[in-house]
Amino acid sequence: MSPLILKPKIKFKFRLDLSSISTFQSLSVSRIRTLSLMYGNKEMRFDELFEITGTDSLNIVIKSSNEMMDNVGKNFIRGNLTVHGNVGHCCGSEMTGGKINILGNALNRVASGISGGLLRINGNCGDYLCGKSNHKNEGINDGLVIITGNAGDYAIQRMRRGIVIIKGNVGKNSCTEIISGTVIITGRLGKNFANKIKRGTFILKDSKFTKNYTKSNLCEYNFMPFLVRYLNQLSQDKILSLKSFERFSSHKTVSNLSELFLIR
Amino acid sequence: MKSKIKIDNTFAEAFNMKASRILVTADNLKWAKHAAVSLTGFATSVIACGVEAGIECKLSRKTSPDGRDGYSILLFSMSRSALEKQLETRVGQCILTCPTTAVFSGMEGDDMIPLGKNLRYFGDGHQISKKIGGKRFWRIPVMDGEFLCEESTGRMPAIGGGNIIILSQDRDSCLKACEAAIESIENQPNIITPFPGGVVRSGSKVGSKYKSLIASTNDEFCPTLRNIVKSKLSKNIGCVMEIVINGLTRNDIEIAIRTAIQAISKTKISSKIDTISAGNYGGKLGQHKFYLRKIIK
Repeated sequence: MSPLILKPKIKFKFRLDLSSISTFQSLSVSRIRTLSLMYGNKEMRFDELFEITGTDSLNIVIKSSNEMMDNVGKNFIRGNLTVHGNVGHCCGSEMTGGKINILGNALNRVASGISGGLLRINGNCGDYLCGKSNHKNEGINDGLVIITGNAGDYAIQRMRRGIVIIKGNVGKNSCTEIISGTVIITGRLGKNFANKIKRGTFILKDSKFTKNYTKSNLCEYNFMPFLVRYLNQLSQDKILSLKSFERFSSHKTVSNLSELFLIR
Repeated sequence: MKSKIKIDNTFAEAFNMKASRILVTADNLKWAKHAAVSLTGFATSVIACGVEAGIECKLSRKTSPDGRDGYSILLFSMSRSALEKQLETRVGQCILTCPTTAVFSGMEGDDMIPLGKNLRYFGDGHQISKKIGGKRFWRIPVMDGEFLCEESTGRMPAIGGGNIIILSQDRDSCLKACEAAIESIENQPNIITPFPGGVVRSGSKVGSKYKSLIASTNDEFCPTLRNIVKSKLSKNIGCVMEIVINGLTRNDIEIAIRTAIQAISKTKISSKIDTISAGNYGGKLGQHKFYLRKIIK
């Protein structure tokens, strides 16, 4: 079966809520064509706004996407979604499964309230990455989020579990109030990083966060090669290389159970 | 089959069991083997060991979960609770204690049994939980660094007690035939041969003249008792050995029995092997019957 391809027919002037894409898996192509969307103050059909080809609704491709498209992959449950171009706000928010691959940049609130699946942004993303969704007091609850570029401010707040990889830099007030989980950042850290955290594992390249921690003795950590192997297999590229790590734990001023691996 | 070895018109009687698989890895194969051998030690028969366990296969660095050398181990027990108890005890005493090791689940399914779930308390509050790919792992601080173990492993219904009995003229040829049979099935997936080297020389029958014993020597196959009891042995038989095969499915055991018999018939000493038979209890106890002649057709 050929993938279901959506291509905009017009250049969007108004913001578009594309959260209904996540319901495509349970619908026939003819039903998808007639689904309604609000465009400005008009209600329009999907096939009035998008050119729709292909039949495999478990493998959706959006071509020529732009940042006016909000909620792409919101509540995504299963299947694959590939987006060629930028996306708007709330991409992959509250997704619970499946794979979303964005070949462009994303605006704010990427993967807010995510609790499963794999979301990859091959570019930069805005503020509030993996943050709290509207009705919850927790951020990412599970799943894997990979940002190959930079992330904005207030990223990864109140993370409960899951893995977030940022290959670029993060903005200020990131990783605050983390409850647990694993965060990998290979770029620079913004101000006020990881404030008021409880637990969690940080794998970082920027050493400035280590000053508050006590260095652990040098030893082998069985967990690290396992994690690196898992992430590289899942992301299908060498997202992390198996270098040596220095471990820091036991925060000097605040009582928390977080740990930090510094990539050497 | 062109071989002159006689195949008895009988069947091997096997039982429903519960099985689980774990993957043990270590820095190198030497230490992975130490851990695997230790865990599968004293696990030959559920009669007294609680569990029947064996090394299923070697894991290469490409196939193991953490990219290190390791072994896949299968454990069989008569009940879920016995399997749970034995698994936890053995992993705690044999894998956790062995340097550089880590342990992972080797079986997925709806029915999960604890692997590191309770072992984590060994960390005395310093253990760290990690949920990766929908599975929970525990990192327990130990003196060589940390011990990584998966929280639970799968459990599935399986079959234990598939067997063949080799009747030979002398001990040397019987042992060589058994060795050839074991070698031919040692890389077969989903099966183990839980006895030492895969071979049993003390096959048992149900019951005993002594009330406290539930099993006693299989006198029908003892060469020394040929003239004393109702024996199944002919005059020229000087040695009998048994290969017990536990497998995840009926098909796995059938393949193993066929491969083993074929391997014996191809050995140089096959002329000294008189008969291949199988152990059963009249078909009254076991839920599975493996008819030898049907299998080798």
